[in-house]
Amino acid sequence: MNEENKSPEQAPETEVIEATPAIPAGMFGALLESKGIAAEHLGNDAKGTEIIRLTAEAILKAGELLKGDASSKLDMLLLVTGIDWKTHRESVYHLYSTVHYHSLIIKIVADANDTSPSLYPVWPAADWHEREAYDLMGIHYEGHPDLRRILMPTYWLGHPLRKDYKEEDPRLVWNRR
Amino acid sequence: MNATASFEIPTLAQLLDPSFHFMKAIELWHQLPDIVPIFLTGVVLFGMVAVMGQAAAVVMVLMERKVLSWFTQRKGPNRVGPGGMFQTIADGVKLLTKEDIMTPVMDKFLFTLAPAIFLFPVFALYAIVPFSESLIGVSLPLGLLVLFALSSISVIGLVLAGWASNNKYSLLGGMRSAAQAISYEVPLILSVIGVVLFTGSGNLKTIIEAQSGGVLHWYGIMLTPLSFLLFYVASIAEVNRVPFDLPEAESELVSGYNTEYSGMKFATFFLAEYAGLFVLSALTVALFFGGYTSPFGGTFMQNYGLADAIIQAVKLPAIKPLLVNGEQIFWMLSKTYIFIYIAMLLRGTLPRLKPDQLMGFCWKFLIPLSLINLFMLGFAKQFSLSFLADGFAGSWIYLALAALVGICGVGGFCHFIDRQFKAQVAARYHA
Amino acid sequence: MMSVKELNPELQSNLPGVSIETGFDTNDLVVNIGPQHPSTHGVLRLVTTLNGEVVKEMEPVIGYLHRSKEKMGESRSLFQYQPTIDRVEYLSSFYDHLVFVNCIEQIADIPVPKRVEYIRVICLELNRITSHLLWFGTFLLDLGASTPFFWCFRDREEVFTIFENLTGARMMYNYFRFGGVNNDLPAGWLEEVRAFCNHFPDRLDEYEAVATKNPIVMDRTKGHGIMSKEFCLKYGVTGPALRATGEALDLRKTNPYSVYNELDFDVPTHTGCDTYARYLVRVQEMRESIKIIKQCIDKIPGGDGGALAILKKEVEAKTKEAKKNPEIVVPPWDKDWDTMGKKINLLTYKPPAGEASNFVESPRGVLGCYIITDGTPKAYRIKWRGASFSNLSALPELMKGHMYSDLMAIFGSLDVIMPEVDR
Repeated sequence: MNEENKSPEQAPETEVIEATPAIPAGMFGALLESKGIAAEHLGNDAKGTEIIRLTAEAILKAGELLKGDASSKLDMLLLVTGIDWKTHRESVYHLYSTVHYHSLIIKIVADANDTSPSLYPVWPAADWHEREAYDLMGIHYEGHPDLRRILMPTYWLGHPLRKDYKEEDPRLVWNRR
Repeated sequence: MNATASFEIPTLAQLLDPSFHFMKAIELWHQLPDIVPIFLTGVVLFGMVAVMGQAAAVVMVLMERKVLSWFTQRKGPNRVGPGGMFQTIADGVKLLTKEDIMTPVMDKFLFTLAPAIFLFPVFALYAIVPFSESLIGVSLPLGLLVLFALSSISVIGLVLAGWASNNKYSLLGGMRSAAQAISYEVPLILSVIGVVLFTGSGNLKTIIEAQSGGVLHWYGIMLTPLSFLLFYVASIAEVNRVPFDLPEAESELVSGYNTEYSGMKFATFFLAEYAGLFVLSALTVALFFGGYTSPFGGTFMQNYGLADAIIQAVKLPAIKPLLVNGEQIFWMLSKTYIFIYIAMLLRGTLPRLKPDQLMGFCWKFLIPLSLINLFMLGFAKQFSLSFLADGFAGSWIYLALAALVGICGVGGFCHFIDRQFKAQVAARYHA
Repeated sequence: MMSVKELNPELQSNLPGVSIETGFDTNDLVVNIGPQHPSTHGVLRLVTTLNGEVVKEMEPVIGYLHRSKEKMGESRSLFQYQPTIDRVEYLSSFYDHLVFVNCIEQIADIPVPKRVEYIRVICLELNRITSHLLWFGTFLLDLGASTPFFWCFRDREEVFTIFENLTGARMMYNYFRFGGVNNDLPAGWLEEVRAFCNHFPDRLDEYEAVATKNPIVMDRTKGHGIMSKEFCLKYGVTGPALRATGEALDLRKTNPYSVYNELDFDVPTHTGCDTYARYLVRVQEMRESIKIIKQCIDKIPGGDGGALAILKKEVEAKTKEAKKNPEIVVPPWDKDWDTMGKKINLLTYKPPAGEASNFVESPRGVLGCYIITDGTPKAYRIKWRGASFSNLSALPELMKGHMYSDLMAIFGSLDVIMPEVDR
């Protein structure tokens, strides 16, 4: 854990980021590059699913492309989650194609205010998933139509899945000692 | 005074002989004024009805639980008493001693009144049910009219219960039951008119005596089988049983109009529902299945001289009405319980209808069908096709007619409904 | 049911559910279905606006069963976390274990013997049957038929007894391990499974005789709750609900995991798109599961566990003797027959840093697990993807314009269970 504090951006996926120059663009990365959308290739996860990282500016355009292009057709959003890297937060989108049966993981780093663009306009299935990521991780999705808490009560303070979260709401009885 | 004058002190040997006491008892019986055996007969008969009829709910609840448990491959209640026989009594004691919960937001007066309004008409209906030829509360010339008048009152209790509970599930349940009860009154009455048409009387006793000739004279089997089916379906709907149990649809409305009820008030609803089922089953038997007569016509006691044989054996002529009426009560109750059993089988088999299907089934199917049926019965009556008047041939002609009209009319009607339904589905698909 | 004014004013401004103040119309009835209601299958709250008996608007409120499973995974070692996975989706908990165990196996590159894969598939498919049986019973119970519910429970209990003989638990199995399973099959277990597979299809025929062609069931389900394929994709609806639109998306077939590519089975689909189609698909899936289990029993390497244990003892004894006397020939021991694969000390096990995501076809749809490890015994992040979560999100739009009575039929046909939604 100490290592992460020293070099947090590289911490848990050290190998992946260091190896970036060597990693060739996967199928989806190549597709995005051919259309002139910059994507960072992070290789494959342990199962062999391609991972790419996109910038907030490019994500909606890239999303439309990945969803619409005949060779990718990633038409189903399986899950959205947030990861707390202690210095910054990251959103992870798992996409699946019901035509070609292949999948892709997209990562987007949230900015310093924990703001990230919502993928709701491209995949409406992101609605509840992004609400959950907002609720538990505190990532604000811009462009989400109805960003409210979903699992925790609406009056809850803080975002429980963050690494620095401490449950010390003064309104709760067990915290008034 | 004569009795005391002829009193002799018995010897010790006589005192030890049981037959001496028996003979003495019979002597005593004969010396009593006539009114006493008649009164005792009445007490015994009413006792039987009290056990099997008025307290039918207790028997029926246990019966229902047992029947459903056989259906679902369980053992059912088997802890209280032998084979769980006293389960209902234990449940009753539990319900009566439970706390009566009333939330502060409900209308307390109406909330308390509703179970009573629901219960009384149902129990008043017992007055017109003929359990035997002499055991009938009031033999009204227009007993059927009383039946329909009373059975419509009880729905007010349900609506009141739904409203006074101040609970949205209860309100929906009460509203559903109002709509349902009012709709199903119509086929209920229309189906009985056929019977009245042939009997020429609204008196239940007259109707039963018209069918006293045995199975082939029962209206439900030979003359108006369609009327019987309509009446039975409508009566199941009247007492809110599966598949028409929408007012208390457990999976949708939690428990419908009685969601907020607990303790004795809930027990009242519970009791009244079963009492209602019993009364309507009994009326089905009275109207369509010969009431208290045996399937072979009359009673065994009278037909085969059984009563005389027994009287000779015990040398008690006064018990003849007891024997005859007892047998009649036996036939009445056993036939009634057959129909109660069928209602329980339905509960174990069928899912619940939807409100719109329920109303559609009544207004689009049952009512047109009962009008067709009424027309056919009027036709048969007009041309004296009744075998009661002209022998068997007439009834066969009627049956053939009924089959023809039934197949054409009902089949065509079902086809029409089916087409409507398919059109609806198609519209939904394209929407 | 609940008046807004009675609540704490502090909480009033951000009440969950529909905006009661603004959207309130005096003609509408707002019914708060749940969280305690006989047929919401757990603690789901549906704030429903009714116009007469027609649903105008609906807002599911979830989170009543939130037990912070993801946070728990970050605070305890993988081995300690494993028993709690069962509770993520308690009706088909073998599936939760499978995705979790598969993720770690892929991150740490642990080989899995064939015998283990077959044992897992038998467990999974039996579990699919129990889950679908519960659905069958409760679905018909929601429609008002009480009898099939008890029948289904009778068969469920039979399968649970089979599971108990294998794992020691009736519902919370905790049986799969990284690279293996907890213990080998007990003697005669496969025969128990085979006996169940032989008589279960007849039972299923019986259940179908009660329900499938019942006019009331058909009236209540046909043409109601229609979900097109586009609708399913819009909300991420998967599983039988998606297959009832004619889309043969079954991860067992399309992205085979475990040994599903060695097995011969069909993916039942239907083009009805309605509640009835979902019903038919699920019933057919139970039959397919039986087919899969029968093949697995025939194909499992090493056969019955009791015979295999005797063989293993013989081989070990022979190996001992061979050390003293080199002339003795040791019979070969196939590593596919093993049930623990690579030996791992679970108490101190540290998977390497990495990430993996796995998706399997659970009875309710695509069940997923996404794990990031950082070289410590704990996971850095665990994310569960419950199929019910996405399926439930489609309910409000699906219910619009339907009768209140259709709610339970349509909701029941989605087969949502709440622990998987709230996790």
